[in-house]
Amino acid sequence: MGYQERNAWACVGSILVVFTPYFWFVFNKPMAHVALFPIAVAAQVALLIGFQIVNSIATSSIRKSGNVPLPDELDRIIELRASKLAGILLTTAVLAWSMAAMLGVSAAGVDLPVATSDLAIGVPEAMNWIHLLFAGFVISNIAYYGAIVVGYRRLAHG
Amino acid sequence: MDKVDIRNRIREFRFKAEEMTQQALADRVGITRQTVIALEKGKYFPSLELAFRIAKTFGVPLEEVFQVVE
Repeated sequence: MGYQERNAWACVGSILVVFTPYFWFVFNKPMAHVALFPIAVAAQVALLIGFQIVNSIATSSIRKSGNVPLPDELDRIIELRASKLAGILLTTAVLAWSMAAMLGVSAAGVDLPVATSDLAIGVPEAMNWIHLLFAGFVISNIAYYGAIVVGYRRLAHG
Repeated sequence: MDKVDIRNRIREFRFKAEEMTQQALADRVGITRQTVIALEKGKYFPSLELAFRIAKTFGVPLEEVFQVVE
């Protein structure tokens, strides 16, 4: 397994490790403190930095040359395909979310701070919708790194 | 249009070049070892630029390393 593939595995892993509990928490407690988001991002950055160090030590070519290998043309093609997939996924998620929000808001209306009628949605529910949009972004990121892993696995195993 | 089947003799030329390792070839042409493996297995076809660099490394014309199978 090459350096770039291990990095992609680490990104998928760190996103899942950090954002699975994050979303579990915010969907159960939509009004959770907003500081939770920068904490989650910082945790993921810390995990990735830690992994980069371990990956560099574990890669024999880096031990010999002292240089981290630059992505070559094959790496770039795999990244390009993954970007395309993630882009399609993100666009679909944002469009679906926007349609649902437009239809939902025009049909039900928004009320603050809590729903006062049967139709209007309260702030906690509105927060859930915002978390849902962010979840679409996170899922498209998982798809991006997942597609990179699949790209390398196909090369290795056919 | 039919898909063109391109074969290469990279592995053969590596052994002729004093059993050059995959990593050594990768370093000389500026790619990763993983890409050399993919090329040798025929799972990836290189750009023209990379193909020329590989042929130049072995000191042979391009068509000796890469061939279209009819």
